[in-house]
Amino acid sequence: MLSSFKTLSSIVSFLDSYLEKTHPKFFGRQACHPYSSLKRSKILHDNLWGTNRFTWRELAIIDSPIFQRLSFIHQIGLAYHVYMSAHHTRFEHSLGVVIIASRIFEKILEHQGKDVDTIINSIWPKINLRTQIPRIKQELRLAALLHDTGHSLFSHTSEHVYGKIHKIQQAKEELSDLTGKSKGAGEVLSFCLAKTDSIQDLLGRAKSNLLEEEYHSDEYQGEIDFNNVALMIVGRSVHPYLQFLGDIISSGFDADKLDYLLRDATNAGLPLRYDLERYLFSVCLEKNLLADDEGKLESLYRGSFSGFNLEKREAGDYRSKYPCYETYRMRLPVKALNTIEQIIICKLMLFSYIYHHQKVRAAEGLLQKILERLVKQWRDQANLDDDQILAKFLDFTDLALDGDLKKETINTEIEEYRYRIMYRLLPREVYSLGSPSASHAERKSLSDFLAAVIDPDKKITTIRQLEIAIGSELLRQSSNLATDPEEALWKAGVWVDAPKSPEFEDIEELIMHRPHSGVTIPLPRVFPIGEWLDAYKSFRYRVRIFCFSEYRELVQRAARRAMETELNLVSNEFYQNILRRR
Amino acid sequence: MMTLGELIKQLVSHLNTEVRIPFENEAPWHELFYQLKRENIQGKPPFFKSLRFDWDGPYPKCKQVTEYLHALHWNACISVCNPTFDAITLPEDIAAHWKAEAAKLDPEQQDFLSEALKRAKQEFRACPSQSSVCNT
Repeated sequence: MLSSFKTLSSIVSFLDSYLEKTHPKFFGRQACHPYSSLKRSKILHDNLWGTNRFTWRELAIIDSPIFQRLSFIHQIGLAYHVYMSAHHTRFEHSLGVVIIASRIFEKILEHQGKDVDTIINSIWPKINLRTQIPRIKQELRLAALLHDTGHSLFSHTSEHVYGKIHKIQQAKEELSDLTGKSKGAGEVLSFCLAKTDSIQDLLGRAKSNLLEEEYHSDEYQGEIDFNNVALMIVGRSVHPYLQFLGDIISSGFDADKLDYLLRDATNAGLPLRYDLERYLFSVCLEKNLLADDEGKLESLYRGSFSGFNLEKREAGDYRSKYPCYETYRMRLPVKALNTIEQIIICKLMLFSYIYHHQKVRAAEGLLQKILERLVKQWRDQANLDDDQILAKFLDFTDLALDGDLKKETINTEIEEYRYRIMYRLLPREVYSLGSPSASHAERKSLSDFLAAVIDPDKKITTIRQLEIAIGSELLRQSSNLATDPEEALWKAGVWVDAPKSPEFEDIEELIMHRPHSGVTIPLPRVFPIGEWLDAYKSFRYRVRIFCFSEYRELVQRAARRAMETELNLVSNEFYQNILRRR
Repeated sequence: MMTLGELIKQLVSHLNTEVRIPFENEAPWHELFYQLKRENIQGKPPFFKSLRFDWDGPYPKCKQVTEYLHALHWNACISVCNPTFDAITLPEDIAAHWKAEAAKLDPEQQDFLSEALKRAKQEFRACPSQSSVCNT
């Protein structure tokens, strides 16, 4: 199935052997779980979404180490250092996504059941509707359940590090070639996990071990298409008509977002809400086009992954500039605007209050530095290859901070950083730069710098140059601090932090046109998103310089000197504006 | 060698007063970069090789282009016309400052920039405004 995607198929094989080695009772030749007979379904209670039924397939996965490890991975990483109740994990989030994805699917069936029947009939004309709808619902729920299984310790912080492993980068490119969509490192791993024999065998054993009891009316009895499950995780499906299933799992207003926004806010204790009922009342399908000029979708839909003999429309059909496929997308009509506004505001606020909070960034920055050094050590000193490094990340959960990570870092300079995260001795902001910090005279120089730190080809070097300049200044001002700028930076805990801005990807396209009018209403006409973003960027977006508290004064002087020479920012007023005071 | 960010800065600063540079409707930007990647144009900067296009709608979409445009707005290097969030505007002093950087490009890349500007004008002019009035 993945034979022409060598790296992806190599990761799938690696995952199978990793799972067999680390959890032989669950996966591989000696596997025997689940031991006891399984109920066909169970009721689980979630603090946000209440009481819900989970099927035996889902329970078999939930009760396996692939999923159980998620209960030791905080949903929002190290944010508990600021919001002390934010200890919720990827475990309950993933269950929440299953519940929400299911509700969206049911609402679409309720609103447009006939359209769904037509879609199913045209894809599988010889197969009974009564079996196919429960089947795609079960596949959707499995995709929701597995969508975060690729995560490692403290979620996105470690993803930034293992995402740089050569093999993962190659896999990301292959996945983009396979699906015509760019996805992150965590999603690549979740996609590959869904493609393992390990999961399919686990479900096979579970099926043969089911209790003889009456089953629920919509329980699907047949085989699961794990290609479809894997594709939904990355926002696709095996057939363009089923694209809405991929949208439910991974798109601008997907089940993932609907769960994490409310779960993060609730667990952090922030009174942010959106109207899910209104969302569900409004969600619908829209017939649309998927352009495919490079032929990636053609390979996907007609190749061994999907195997449909589909008709691709020529460029010019439907007034499309490109060859294209007809598709059905999940959409929200303009009448659901209140919910759309609430979701956008909720996301902005969460960035402002939690994800970009200076102490959260400080803790995550420390962790990233630890992991980067460890990867270097594993490569240079222990000669580990990409698979072995990947295995380390799969072994790690947040428990590693006081366990495996401690063992790895003992007697090294990294241990100090680990200790600081563990006991909240976090770095402080010394300077905080945003566009409004500059007076007219500095505007050009600051705009050069701010534009460079967001340029994918310049970001790393621009930040690194400034950091090295700060390190050199530190040495000039305190020669006994270290022997070289790199060491001085490490010792004083200095780095330049330029967070990524929040994405509001594809929001325009997720909003349905006014029905039958053919008129698109631009979102900003009805909701002033631009003004909200302007307000956020003016008051909240910052590039920061961090350091350990005990070096604050020294770093303050050194960083100013470095910015004067490197960035040509020289006025006293500017430094008064950007200095962070207690 | 010109980076993605530098090319976008050059396009914005050169076209600042000539055409309405779309922001809210990103399609013309993606169409432009897709054309530039696909066609054999002298002096094309190497970053185009790693530019990837997603096929998830009626036109190709490059995540890197979207991210850079949004980040430029986000960190306030550029402004957009409100209330419609329709077009990009750039303060005159910043436009002149960015434009001046083009002089540092080698002749081949300057030729490429001219070609990119010509195509950008066509793409952007063909893009209808979302509003009849744009308050800057």
